[in-house]
Amino acid sequence: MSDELPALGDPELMARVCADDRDALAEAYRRFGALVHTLATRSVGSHHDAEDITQQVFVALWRSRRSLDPAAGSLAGWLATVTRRRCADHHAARARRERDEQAVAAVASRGTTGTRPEDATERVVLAHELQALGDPRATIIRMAILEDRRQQDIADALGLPLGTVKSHIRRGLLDLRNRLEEVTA
Amino acid sequence: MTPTFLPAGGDPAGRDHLADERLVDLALSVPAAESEEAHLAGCGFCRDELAALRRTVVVTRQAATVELVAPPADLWSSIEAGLEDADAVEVVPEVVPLRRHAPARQGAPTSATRRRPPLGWLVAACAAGALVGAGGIVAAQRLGEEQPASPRTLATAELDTLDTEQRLGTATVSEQADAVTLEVSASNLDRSGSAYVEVWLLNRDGKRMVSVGVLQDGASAATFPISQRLLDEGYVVVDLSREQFDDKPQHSGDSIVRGSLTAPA
Repeated sequence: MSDELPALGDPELMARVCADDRDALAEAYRRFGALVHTLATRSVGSHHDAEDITQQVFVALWRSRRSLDPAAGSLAGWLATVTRRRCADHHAARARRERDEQAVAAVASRGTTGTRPEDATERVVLAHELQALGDPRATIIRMAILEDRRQQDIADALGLPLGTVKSHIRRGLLDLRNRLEEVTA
Repeated sequence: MTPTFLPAGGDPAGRDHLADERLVDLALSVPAAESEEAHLAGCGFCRDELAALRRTVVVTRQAATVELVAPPADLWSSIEAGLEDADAVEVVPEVVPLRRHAPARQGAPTSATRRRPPLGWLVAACAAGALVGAGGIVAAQRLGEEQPASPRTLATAELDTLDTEQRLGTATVSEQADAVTLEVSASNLDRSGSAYVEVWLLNRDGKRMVSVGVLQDGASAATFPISQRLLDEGYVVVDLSREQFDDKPQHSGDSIVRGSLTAPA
């Protein structure tokens, strides 16, 4: 029974978790553990705290499983949003401690990026989405967006019909846009 | 090449717009035809869509340099250890507004194993430091923890038609910073013959009810401010009715859908 889990689409996986399937939770961890951990590491900096947050987010997913609704959004979006909240709570708690202890640094370190936490979430989530894409779409998207190649060139290079390439680009970019919308603060 | 104009699904006015495929092309810097430029100049909807797609392209390029870091191998066992307490479903789950403009839930899979605990269970489960209202739907507090100002779901209900028990929507009661709201989301409501659709909270005594507001024409979701007191007093059944402009404020008796609020956990 657990052999089929890796092949399940995300909405179906979400439905399984909702239906109390612990194996489905393990599969969700396998798929999205790196996403959550990367988001946490970039936000809080400390590996120990990032691991704590990762653990808490997946426990929270299990706790909230009955309210999961595939029609309302994706597992990746849910996890990214909860992770961001936990990181924000972490920063707020640390700021309060530092203020109480009259520490010098007033602003808690936001990790290594030095940019807004919201921007980091979006980049990491899309990085996850790109990595999760199968081929040929992953390659087509990379060639179109990262290498700026024209659709006809991509079709020629991959030996695919132009219509197929156009379709993958369209669907791929729209899916990325939808995911981005879910996690844009 | 003739530009393609297709009605876009998201525009309530249903006017012609640039097709998804063309917007994607434009986001990838394919030159626009003159007529497309002209359309964009006058159409905020397409401009917004194009901007969103362009932004997606930009963030995707930034994402190319992100390296995902997997958690250490032993982390899963600490998650499993945390699940021991979480199998008994908790009263206060994490609440996530997943989309800013949530679409009406259509055809969402209903889990046959989804059990809703009876309200009496909630009272017994409140030993873990929760504050209990007489109605059993609680604004619980996690003692000793920081209180982030994020919304909490207090209760949810499936909104089903009375005769065929077809699920057409959901109702969600949330609390954020002491304000309690009821959000109603429903699609494919049969409004025929009605002047407007009214949203009610019926008391579980089957006798009393209060009107919470009106679901606007064309809206598939709406949020109404309510009070914890209403829930405590037992007004826990969400009802949507077809009403007329007849100067009679009472419930017409013609309910479209109804559902009982229970704690979501």
